[in-house]
Amino acid sequence: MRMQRRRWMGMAAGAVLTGALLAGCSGGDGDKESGTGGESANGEARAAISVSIYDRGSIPGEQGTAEDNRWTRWLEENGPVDLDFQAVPRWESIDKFNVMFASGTAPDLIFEYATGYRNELINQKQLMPIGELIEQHSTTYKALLEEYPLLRQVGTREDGQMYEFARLNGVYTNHVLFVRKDWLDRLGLGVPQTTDEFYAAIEAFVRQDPDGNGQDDTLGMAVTGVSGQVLEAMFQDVGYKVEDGTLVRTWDNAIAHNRFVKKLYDNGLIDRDFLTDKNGEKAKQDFINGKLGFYGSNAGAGGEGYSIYTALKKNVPDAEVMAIELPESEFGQFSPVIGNPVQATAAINANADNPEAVMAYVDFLTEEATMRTLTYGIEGEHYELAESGCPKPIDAEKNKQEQDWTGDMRMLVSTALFGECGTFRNRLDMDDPIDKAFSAIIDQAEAAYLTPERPMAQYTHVEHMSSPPKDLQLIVTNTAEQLRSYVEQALVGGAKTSVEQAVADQQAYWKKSGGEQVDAWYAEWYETNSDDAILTEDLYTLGN
Amino acid sequence: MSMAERQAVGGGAVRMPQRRNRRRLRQNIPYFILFTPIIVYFLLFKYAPMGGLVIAFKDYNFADGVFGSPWVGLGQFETLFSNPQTLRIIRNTFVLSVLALLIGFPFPILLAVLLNEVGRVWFKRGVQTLVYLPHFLSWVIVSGIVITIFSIEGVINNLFADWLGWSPIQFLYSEGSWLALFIGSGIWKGAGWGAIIYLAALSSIDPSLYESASIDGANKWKQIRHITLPGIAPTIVIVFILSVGNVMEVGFDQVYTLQNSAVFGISEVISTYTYKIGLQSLQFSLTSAMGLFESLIGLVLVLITNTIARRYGQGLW
Repeated sequence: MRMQRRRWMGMAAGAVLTGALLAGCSGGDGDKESGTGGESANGEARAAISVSIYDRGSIPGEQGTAEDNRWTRWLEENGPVDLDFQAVPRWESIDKFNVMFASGTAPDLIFEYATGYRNELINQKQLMPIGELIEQHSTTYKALLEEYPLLRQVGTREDGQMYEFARLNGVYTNHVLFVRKDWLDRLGLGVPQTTDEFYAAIEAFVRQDPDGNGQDDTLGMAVTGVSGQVLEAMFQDVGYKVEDGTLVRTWDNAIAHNRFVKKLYDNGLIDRDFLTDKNGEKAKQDFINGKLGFYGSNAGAGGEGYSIYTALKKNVPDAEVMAIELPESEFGQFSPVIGNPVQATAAINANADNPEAVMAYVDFLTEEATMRTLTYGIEGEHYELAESGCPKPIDAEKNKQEQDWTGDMRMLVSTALFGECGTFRNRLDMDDPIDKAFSAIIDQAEAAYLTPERPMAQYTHVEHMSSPPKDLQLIVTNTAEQLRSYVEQALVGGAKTSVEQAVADQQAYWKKSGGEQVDAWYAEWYETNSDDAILTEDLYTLGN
Repeated sequence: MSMAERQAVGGGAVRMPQRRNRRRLRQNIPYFILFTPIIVYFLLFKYAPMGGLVIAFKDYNFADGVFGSPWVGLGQFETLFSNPQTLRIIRNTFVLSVLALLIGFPFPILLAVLLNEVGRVWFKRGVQTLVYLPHFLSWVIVSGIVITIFSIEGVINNLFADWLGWSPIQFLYSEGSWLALFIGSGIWKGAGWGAIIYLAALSSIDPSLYESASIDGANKWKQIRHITLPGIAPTIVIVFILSVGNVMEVGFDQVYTLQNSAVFGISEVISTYTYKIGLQSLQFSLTSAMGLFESLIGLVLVLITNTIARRYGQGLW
């Protein structure tokens, strides 16, 4: 008897410890519930939903975290439901979402830019069809859908169901090729029109001391990150292209593109350690420090380009930058990736407890007043209306602290509805010489890239591409790295290796891995859908 | 034997050991309580997750979950082994870890023996602290250092270029030198920490053995060979068996942070493959099959090693 009691005590101790362990795991959200009033003003219980929010680590420390800051509180206080924000690291968002879905903790409302990933979630029945829900419960978003049927089109899949909420961005630029205009001028060079002239300019930037400091310390062109993608666009080395009414792999383009890069590398005109610059951060630092002549920037005529430009001007006050058309290659003249005019960004988790509450929140997010606040801040505090009728920042420094980082909360803000007020140009202060110069860069980029004469190199925006079925997708993911490896070995291999051989190896490997099935799927997709799908030539007129 | 049988056979004689057992149990209750969290830890974090291995035989999807997803038998393994990459990934995992084990294993022992021979305590302490500091740096930092030092614009290549006029060497982008860097950085980071267990074993060797050996005229080298090494041999064997069990587990952090696509042919291993294909591309079942396969090889290797060790009387069980 006594022994038994002892044993129970032991087990009880174990249970207590286990409990402590479990409590340790779930302690994260315990404190949040007490902070927010669970009831609205009239005493009626409010619904609660969870919402994902990207975390880029860009929020100033004293402003709080991605999950808890002045704007998350603002959304909760002014919106119809209680919110539980769940941070998702921006550059590991897919890993994070996968873990959340696998463990059943994914938020009710999901914000994710990658269409391929949302397609995967739809395949796995993790996203809720929302057509009915909008029909029966929505107000604001329903009105928006009726006015802009494109929103319905981009959110709808082959099964005829609508899964995603979308926004209208207008036609705008994304990737931009910058050049140091002052370097061109000093060396007496014009803006390169062809890839040969482009090569010559890069060579001059490295050999002829364009910054005039008497040292051999300049680089011609970045080849990593977005700069690498801009080079791909120049030669249309973008995977698939339309040829004779069907989609074909761009093997020839790959040869031309990589031959160009190999020549740069062999002649010491680019960073010789570019393989270790996995995300293009080093190239960005080189450009900001005034050591790099050509640089491709993400959102080059928007916030990111602006911060790169101002950082460069701080380091090198004499620097002049311009955005240029991509030089013409033997395949034609193209533009780098442009923005997506009609972009699906959000969806509801199939396991959401209370879809009506999520719908109510989406309606709140797409109200004009909410969109305005998320974009410009609070009237009288962050912005005031200028003569043009557009909101203008009152104090740029204050906004940088309190407001500029709300981009990821605007994922359902349709800036196109603000007209000219919604453009990045409108945020600039024309009395400030740096802002004024940047506004000229925006004009150059728009003139260069937003025309069907120099179409984007891809057959459509990546966010409008359909994904092949799972088994074919597996071939793509399984081979991706090996294919890249063939070429990169050739790029750094010196005289021993050739790009032609590398691409031949790629083709053989692609064939052996069943890649031809993937090619056939794309060709067939194009055949059946090219009339209805949104293709590159449609992008320039969409949503206008 | 059931209680009734025992009593029938032995009568009162068996009551004694039974009571003793009970008393021993009672005496040890505090230890059992101390041990409970460890049992709970193993059950919760080591044994319970093993249930999830069933997805290696299923076509896992989010909607049906771990237990609801359809069975596919050995289908995932078939997909895995029909992929030309798989065999190379397994080979890479094996090559990297066996080399790291064979080359890296003697270093902590060497370090411990050397430290043991140091006469001045302050020097010994200082060196010991310095050599195990790298253990506390994360692989992200160590790899960053390695890449900075050995890149084409890095310190080593600059020295070669300035002093000897050599053209730069692509340490990071050719497979042989990458492998050397991989193993070297592993040794640099881990040897000092690994030496601790041998130092502990060394302190248990009876000093009188050394005294009598030196009276008999044995020099340092002979003392090390005939006293020090045999003294720590059991520890060496145990550590070796345990590391063989981990042979198929090339640490994810080190490979992932050091690799680049020019050396993809040697640097892609099971753990990085699992991360990229499983976690990033949602092929959970496929990569579980890979993981299961990895563990099986690990188990077989441990059994083999232990059998060999037992033959020399040093087995772990």
